[in-house]
Amino acid sequence: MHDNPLLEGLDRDRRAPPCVLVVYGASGDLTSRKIMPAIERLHRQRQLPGAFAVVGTARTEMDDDDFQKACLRSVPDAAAGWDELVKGFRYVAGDYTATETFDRLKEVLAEVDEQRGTSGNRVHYLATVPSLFDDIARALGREGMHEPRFDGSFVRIVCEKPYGRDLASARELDDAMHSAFAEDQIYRIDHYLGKETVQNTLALRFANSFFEPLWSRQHIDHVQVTVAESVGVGTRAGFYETAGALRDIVQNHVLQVLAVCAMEPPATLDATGVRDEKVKALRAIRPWDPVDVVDHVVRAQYDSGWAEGEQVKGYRSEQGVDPSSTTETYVALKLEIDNWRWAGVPFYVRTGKRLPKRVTEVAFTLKAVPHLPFTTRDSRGLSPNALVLRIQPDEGITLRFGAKVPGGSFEVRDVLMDFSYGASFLQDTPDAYERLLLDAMVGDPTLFIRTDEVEQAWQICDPILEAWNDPSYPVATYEAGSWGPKEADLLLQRDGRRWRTP
Amino acid sequence: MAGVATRTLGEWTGRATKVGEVLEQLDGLRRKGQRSLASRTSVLTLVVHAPSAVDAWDAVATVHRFGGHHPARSIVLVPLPEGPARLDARVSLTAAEAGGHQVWFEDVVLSISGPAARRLGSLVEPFALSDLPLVAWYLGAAPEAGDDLVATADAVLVDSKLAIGEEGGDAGDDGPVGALPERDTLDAVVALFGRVPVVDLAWIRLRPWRELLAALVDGAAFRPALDDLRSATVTGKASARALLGGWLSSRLRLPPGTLHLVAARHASVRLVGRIDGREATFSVERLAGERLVRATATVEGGPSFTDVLALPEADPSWALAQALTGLRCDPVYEAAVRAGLA
Repeated sequence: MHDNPLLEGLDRDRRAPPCVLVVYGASGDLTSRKIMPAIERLHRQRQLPGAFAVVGTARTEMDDDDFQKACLRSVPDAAAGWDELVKGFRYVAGDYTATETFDRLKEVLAEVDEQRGTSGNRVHYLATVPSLFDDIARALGREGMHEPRFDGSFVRIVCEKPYGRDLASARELDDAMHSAFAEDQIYRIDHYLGKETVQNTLALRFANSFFEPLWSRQHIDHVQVTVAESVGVGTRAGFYETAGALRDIVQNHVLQVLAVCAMEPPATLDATGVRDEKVKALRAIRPWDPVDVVDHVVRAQYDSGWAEGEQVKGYRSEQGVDPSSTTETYVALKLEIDNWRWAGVPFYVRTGKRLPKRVTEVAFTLKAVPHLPFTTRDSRGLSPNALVLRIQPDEGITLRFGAKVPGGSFEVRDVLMDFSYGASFLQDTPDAYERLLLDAMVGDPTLFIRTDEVEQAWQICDPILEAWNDPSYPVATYEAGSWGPKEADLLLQRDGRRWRTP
Repeated sequence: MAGVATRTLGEWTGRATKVGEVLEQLDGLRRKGQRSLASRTSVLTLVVHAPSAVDAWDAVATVHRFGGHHPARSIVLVPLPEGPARLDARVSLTAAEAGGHQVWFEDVVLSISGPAARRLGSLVEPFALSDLPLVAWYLGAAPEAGDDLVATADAVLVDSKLAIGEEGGDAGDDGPVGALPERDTLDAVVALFGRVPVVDLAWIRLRPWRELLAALVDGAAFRPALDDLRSATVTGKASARALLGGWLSSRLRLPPGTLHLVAARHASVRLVGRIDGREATFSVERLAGERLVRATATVEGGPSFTDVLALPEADPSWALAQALTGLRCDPVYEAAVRAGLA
């Protein structure tokens, strides 16, 4: 394949090559809410090639025309040209267990290649419920659709979390995927990795000499990871009852963020460099023995209370929730990383629904200075230094350090130095899906999760789930709109620490 | 980016003043900003070289449309070398919002008459933010090689379209069709190459045409046409013809006699080549009367498609923001200008 000399100087690696995006679950919520708007933005920003099309497939009976109308409706504020692009989109209705569905899909894909010059390149996007991943992956293998149609063309498959519901089911799913696809064809999405955060964290750690020397047990006392949501379970009770906070947030988002924060400096920032170091960090996290879980993990459910100025129900009273449910809406845990860098530095993690506000942050609290030459009275407003990576809503970095209060006395007090990405750069941040879709089309797997990372994350979560299978394992409660149960406070108090108020 | 609300927090005007006085007033305003508003992150100092006071105000307004995404300090210089020695100044402090955060920034407008107007570098230094890049934006002609402001700058912004007297904010806008740019203008730009990164706003405004054409010929079904090109036609006004024509010549090593430049109100590019004996046509053209560009690829008896895209805002702040985002030497641009002159 010859190089395109006109792309020189035009951010070549941020432009998708000619390809077809095949969306499974094309009549679903994820397609209309996330995928189509992301495609439209990529098109608007001229990051899509002219030779591009979406082929949607789902069980819903629709023709091309209906699908195109649905795509137009998904992006009401589309820029000019979206309707022209959508005219080339196709739809195949059918059951994923039926051979005819895939025969028809192959025909349509060949037509698209002929008509639009998409050159046999495919990105299969599994936007269905996870229970269908297995069927689709195996069918693609059976039909030979996992292999490039021409010399030099590519086939990739993208799937959404949850990737299994424990180690065993994750392995089964992986077997299905690998029965057809090689690991380097598989792109597992965790949209947290599509936020700028991961790369910002890598830049903060490895482009600066300020922070990395402090980034270890020598200087850091402990780390707190908070992923707080103010909303309740809402209309997702059916799904949530089978998932819970550990599977929904900790197994993927939290452990991914934690891995990026705790990993060793990679030699290169490519997919292998970054993911090798991430999996090493995950491997160093000590899985708790099921009998020890109770000392390190608190699960809880929100009770009724007041959240964001509104009186709200408790979890067990929500529609679609079993009144005797033990599904956790909150989990707090203490993790230990057994390596030279982090031995003895606890990582406290908490995530929950109906907490006071929506915020995600990682806070590194530094050790106190060895000696304070100030009087107790003068230094009572002083806490240990802290570095906070704010992930959402306002992405940035906060440094907390002590400064003298102006005046005659030598009183010292905490001050915060804020850095906000939004106020510092002229361009806007791309949406996570936009970023990840483009990466999958371009073929950059750096921000996708590799199979060994998935396994390692389940290795950490499985013993916890096992311990929770015991009906006598306590389910704490917390008032909606509070920062969690008192049991979670005790988890830190035992170590002489307390939770931050983000 | 357009339509961002800004608010003036304070201003000061000094007639026949001194640099020391202006700095003192600027400092006072800055302290006021620190007291009343949270934070500011600076990324660069933007120095605007304006041929007249009217241009200076337009430039300030353009920069303000960045709103909360702001380079932090703008210094606008209006040099009048012929007049008696005198410095007039206006300093203002403006607030805007970015992602829920209030941010603030200062503008300094200096009218300089007399000999100091030829030594602008010395005037700018005390106002520049320390340790950050300084970008010199020339609203009029490109600077001469000996300009001491260029020596101070980390990057120079020019607009080869305005410099050759074409009005309007977009390479494809209505306006005089014009002859090819006078060699002097692009020669001045070429003289800066190798000394300082040059970012040309006209080149940035033509980026959609370049991106679309590059996307049309991408991939196994279309790319082979570039190996057997029969003709390349560029229409547009003078700067668009020179830059796009130079770009195609330098990137595609066009056989002699294949490049045709045609004066027109709207920019367009058309390539015709052959793939296995079949004709392949690629065209990118602005649709008359609309801010839309249509890109079409057609292989005789083979694949074809049409893509329609909205052009970015006509607001000059769009091109400026793009320019300030990538302040590097652009070898593709430099080769295009050189080829455009050849």
